[in-house]
Amino acid sequence: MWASAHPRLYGDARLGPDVQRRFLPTRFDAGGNAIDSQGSFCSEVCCPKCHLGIPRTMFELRSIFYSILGSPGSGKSHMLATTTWQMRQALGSRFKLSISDADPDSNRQLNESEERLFFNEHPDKLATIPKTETEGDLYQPVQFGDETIWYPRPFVFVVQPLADHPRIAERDEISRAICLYDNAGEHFLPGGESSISPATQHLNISRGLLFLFDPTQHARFREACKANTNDPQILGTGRSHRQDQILHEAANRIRTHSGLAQQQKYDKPLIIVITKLDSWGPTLWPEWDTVDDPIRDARQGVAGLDLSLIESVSAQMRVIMSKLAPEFVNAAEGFANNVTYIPVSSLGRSPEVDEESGMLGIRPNEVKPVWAEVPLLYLLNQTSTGLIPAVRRSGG
Amino acid sequence: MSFELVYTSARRGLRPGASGFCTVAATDGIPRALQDKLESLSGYSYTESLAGSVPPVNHSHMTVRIQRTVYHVLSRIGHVKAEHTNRTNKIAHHLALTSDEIESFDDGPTAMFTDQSFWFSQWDSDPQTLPPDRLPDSYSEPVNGFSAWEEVFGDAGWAGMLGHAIASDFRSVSVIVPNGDQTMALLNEALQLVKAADQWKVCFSTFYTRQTSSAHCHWRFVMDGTSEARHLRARTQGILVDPLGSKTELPDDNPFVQAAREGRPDQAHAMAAAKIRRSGGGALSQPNGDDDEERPERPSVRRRREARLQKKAVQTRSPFDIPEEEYAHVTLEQADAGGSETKRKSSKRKNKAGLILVSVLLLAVIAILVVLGIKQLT
Repeated sequence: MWASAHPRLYGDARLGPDVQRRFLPTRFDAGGNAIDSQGSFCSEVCCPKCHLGIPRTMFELRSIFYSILGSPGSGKSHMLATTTWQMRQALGSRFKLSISDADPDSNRQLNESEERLFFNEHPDKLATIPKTETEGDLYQPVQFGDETIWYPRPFVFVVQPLADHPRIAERDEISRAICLYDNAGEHFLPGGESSISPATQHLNISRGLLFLFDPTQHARFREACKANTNDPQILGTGRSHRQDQILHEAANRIRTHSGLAQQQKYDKPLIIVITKLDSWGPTLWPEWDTVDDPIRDARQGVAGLDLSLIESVSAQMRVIMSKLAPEFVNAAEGFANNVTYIPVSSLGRSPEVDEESGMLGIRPNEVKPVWAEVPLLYLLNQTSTGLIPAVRRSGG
Repeated sequence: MSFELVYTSARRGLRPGASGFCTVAATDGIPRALQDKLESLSGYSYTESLAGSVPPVNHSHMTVRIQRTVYHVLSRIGHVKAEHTNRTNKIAHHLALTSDEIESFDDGPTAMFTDQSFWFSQWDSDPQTLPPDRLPDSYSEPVNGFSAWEEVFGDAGWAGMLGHAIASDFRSVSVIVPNGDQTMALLNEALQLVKAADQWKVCFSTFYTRQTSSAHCHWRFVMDGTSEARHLRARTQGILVDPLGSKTELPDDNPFVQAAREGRPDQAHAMAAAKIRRSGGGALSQPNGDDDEERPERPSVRRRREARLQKKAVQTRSPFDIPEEEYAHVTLEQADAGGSETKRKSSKRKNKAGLILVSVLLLAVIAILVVLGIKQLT
């Protein structure tokens, strides 16, 4: 199914009067593009069921889906913005890979968040990334008769080797279209998904899960850290969430939709991203700001990911988590075979409360992410052959 | 029975375990499908709202159908102070009325928003169930001609485009406004150009964005400087009223434009009818350079169009033209029984037609054989 291109052909049964009409083509030009009833050459391909547009790259490259989940306020949007920004920096210069938006319109909100943090015209003033909504920009309504279903809109990136990449000859094999889903945390709460908003069904097709564990929402972490911090997220009240319950809920949805039995374990990577490292690190992991960069430059010109370092840090994190949040470790390891714990600070420092608005904000000139890109790079290393190479220390 | 729903970000929602963006108050007994629908209509684009000096409030009227019931949903959605986790927040308060209930509100949908004490603009209490049949007082704001249109756009005639769009088979029209300060005044003034009987059929949104609306909307007020306004200017669907950024001119001969300029909204429909009579039944001139109507229409084309319109008038109606009482008291068994009766009649008619056709064919064959026989004999 294709989207018409002629300005007169507006209005679609599924998507409403404001979009170009969808049609099954009978005429094509020499390049294989459909020609609509008014003779215009079309370029947008759509899903025959929901009529939503599908970026062409999804057909041309192998697609890989990842889901980001966590409780409300765990830092999903901030991490996604800093991760993509850090990836844009590191992939080109160190991994000899290009990263681009497959569909700039779909990635608009993420790009706006990146601009607020890294391209802000007032870098010394407090900037805020809005709370992710359960409807609106990140979802696309589709009409099925009288029923409107809200489908989540993924962020889609294309990652492919640059001309000086040593495996450029295998370009078709190693290039990927990466789809990331950023849901509102409310969708992962028990009962948060409805028949008209199947917002978390992407969990079933994901090649890996990034679960954001927020220590500032855990009572025992907060208690352990409050003497040594002035972070309003730790000193404030009423932010607690049972994050193990959210993981259980996600696990149940995956089991239900993918037909995984209770005794079977999830065999794809589950990365537990322990966020807001800057607020709990000084108390519980003092070496947090001197930890090495896990991206190692190699003599061949292409960097690799130091898996030994990541696994060593993961083991240290597991010890901390087992001590303060054993119920969560139990939930994660009871669900998946392959669990890795990675600490991250998306902003590098605590946010401040804006006196005027009462909202938490960060001054863009003080943003210094710590390991923000590591969870996604690690996931790419584990799930896509050849894109992100691994480096192991000789003694490891 | 009317239903209300309040949706915002709070520590605790009405449903056990709900937190963050969730329903914090709803009328006792609200149907689950209606609750889901109202929650999905609660979008508010915070990023888009930053285009103005003050985040605008979205007052909207939409029509939704839940199973066999048509609801008129009146909503007030606005930005509120930071929520309990110090992040951006909004509050959406919806009131869903059935077609029976709106009959007691003669002043139209905008009059429902004048009772500000009814609409929640912030939420600091615990989740609660609201009593049934809690309704706002409805009274019309005094409207002074088209002074708001004159003040905002420099020409009251632009209001005529909204009335014209409704008179032209309820076409959609987008209005790009400099800010959200006067949208309610603009809306109230433009509604003067709509017949009283049609006012509840006009769906509107005073802060419209495509991303947050899943329902059909006739009048869309869009803030200048937003991505929605940029999108509309780049690619217009329907009628665009954009005196701030557009070079298009108002069609001076349009009776709705004339009525708005002269401050005589009650004359608009009479003037439009007179114009149609003068032009021999042709439609009113179209805005935005749509020059289809400027060309003289051939009589054959006009006859075909009129026939099509007549057929359409008989066969289809706008979804909210169908009174819900047509559905309300029809049980499934009755509906099925009615359906099978119709099917039986239709099947009988088909059988009869088939028999006649076969008989005619047989007669024709016999006639041919007789003719051939006579020829052979002679």
